Amino acid sequence: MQEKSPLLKSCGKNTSCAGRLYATWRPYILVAPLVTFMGLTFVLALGSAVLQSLGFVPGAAANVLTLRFYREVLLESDFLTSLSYTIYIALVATLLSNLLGVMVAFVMLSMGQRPKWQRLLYQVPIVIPHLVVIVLVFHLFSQTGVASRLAYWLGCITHPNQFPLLVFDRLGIGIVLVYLYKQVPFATMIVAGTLENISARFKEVAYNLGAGRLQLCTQILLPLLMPTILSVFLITFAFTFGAFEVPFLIGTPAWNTLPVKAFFYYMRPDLTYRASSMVINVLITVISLGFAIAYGHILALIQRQTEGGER
Amino acid sequence: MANIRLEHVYKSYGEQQVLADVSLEIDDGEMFALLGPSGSGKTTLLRLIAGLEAPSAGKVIFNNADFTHVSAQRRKAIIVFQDYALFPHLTVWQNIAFGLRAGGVPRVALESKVHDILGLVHLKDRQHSLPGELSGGQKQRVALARACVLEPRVLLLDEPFSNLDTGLRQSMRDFVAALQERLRFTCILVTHDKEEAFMMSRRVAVIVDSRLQQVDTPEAIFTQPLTKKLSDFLGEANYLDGRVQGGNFYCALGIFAVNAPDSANAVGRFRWDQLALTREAGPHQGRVAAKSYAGKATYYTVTIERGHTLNVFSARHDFFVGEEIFLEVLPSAVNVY
Repeated sequence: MQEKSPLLKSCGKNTSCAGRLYATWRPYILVAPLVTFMGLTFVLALGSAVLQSLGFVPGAAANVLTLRFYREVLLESDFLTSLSYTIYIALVATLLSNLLGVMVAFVMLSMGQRPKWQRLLYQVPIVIPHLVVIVLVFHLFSQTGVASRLAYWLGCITHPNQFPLLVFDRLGIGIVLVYLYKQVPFATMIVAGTLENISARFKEVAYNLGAGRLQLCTQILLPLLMPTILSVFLITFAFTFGAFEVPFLIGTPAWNTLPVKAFFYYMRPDLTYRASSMVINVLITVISLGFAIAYGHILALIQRQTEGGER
Repeated sequence: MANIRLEHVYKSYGEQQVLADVSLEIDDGEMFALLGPSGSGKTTLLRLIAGLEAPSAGKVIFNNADFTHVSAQRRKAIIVFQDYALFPHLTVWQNIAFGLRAGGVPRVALESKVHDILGLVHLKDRQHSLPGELSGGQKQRVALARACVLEPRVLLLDEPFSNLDTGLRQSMRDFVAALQERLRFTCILVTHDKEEAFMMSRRVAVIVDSRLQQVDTPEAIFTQPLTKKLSDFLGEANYLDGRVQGGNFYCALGIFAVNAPDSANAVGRFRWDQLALTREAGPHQGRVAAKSYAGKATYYTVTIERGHTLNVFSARHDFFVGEEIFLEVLPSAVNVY
């Protein structure tokens, strides 16, 4: 005889059974609409992208599934350049924003309790849209921008052309500046919260055992902060790696990042280029997923090392 | 090791006074207990001694030197925290070595010290484990080792046994007592558990409502609490109104010789264990109103003449609710406030 499930076993009378069933499933029912929407959107969009990348583009009358577009995109002469440029921008912006975010978080910790308005000050850039920041960076750092005029007024340069190219430049300085403006406060906000908790718990312990500030930071706070820093790194890297509008608007015309390249393919009148565009989108997704998986493994490793099996 | 002296110590947070006029002296190598209810200020006092807080007024003196403004790093007054506060990412060995490294102890001496203390706390086989892999008792031994290896001037134990289950608690008390006996460091135990304070230390200071109520031996505090607040904190006592006249306290239970000035409105304290129930005829007849079995003894509530209700703590379990009984009061039973 088949054994009843624990749920059915717990149902004594019919009248209470429905109530217990509802109580058990209530959380799932409540989140079901959101999960369904998010899941369907993701699965359908990704499924559609994969199908199109395999050549299934109905409007283009190319309905045979093939890996031809993957081969073509991967063998293109500038694909590796775009990939390298995208990774370069994402890595530089992420590393710098994380480093600065951690530094600001430590400075804030050393300052102790701050008024609420001061905390809001560094949180405001998080809610400003990227497009607005792009305009800000353009007006500040382009060769006709405020910084250039200031340098001219101070006599540092005699012509706007002498001002270093910080926007539309090959090093992507303008792009990185936009990301720093947005991501340093984000990294600070996440890291500062964790840092305050860790510090509250272990600062006095370390001092009581005779440690100085440097030992506290390097031997206790930073190691315990690593999972949080890794989380912030992954989030900011994945965002920057897949972001389109910043490199599109103030990136160098010489090289395109992968999302910009995908956009240009997508906008071509010949619909068969949609398949190439989707190939790039699928590759971006796969690379981001690869980072997420690697992050998961590293985080689990760190947690195993720092926490062990809690008893 | 150090002799610790607190002179008229006050501590306030804004308007809230946490400690008021605390003065006490702890001898070199003494096992001393700070007892008091939650929120009484005893942990704050511990933090003042450790240098983690500065007093609002008063002095903290170690070995006749004023340490009031010496930083926590330089005091060598090491706390074993209630939740042990082990660094979760460091192994047992690294946790114990942390303070030695911070103090710049040379590598060979450091390894030797850690090795020795690991043996003393029976944790050599767990030296590569992380705190998350240890049981509560093992974690506490690591915390003790981490503190003791620094050869502290004073070891401060902040409710160290409150997170342990009953069996382990007793064995850890014995372990700490033996460790203190062996290493002979000055040790201050903060606890809200009077039994723990009485069992572990030769002298106890009781703090209630931010003020030091009494510093004495466990026996003196238990039998002769100087203040009503202290008596209330110790609990397990009946209070009867009466008067003091000519060195005698007159109340519903009779006349008792006391060492107190005359007063028309006095309160007498009779501990539950100083009253006894009997079936043999005596001066105070009563009736058992309630009874609670507590293993080694039974708690009885007894009503006596004139409507007085008294609690009695008795090793006899055989009286039943509703039974008519007689009440005996042991000699020298009363404290008067």
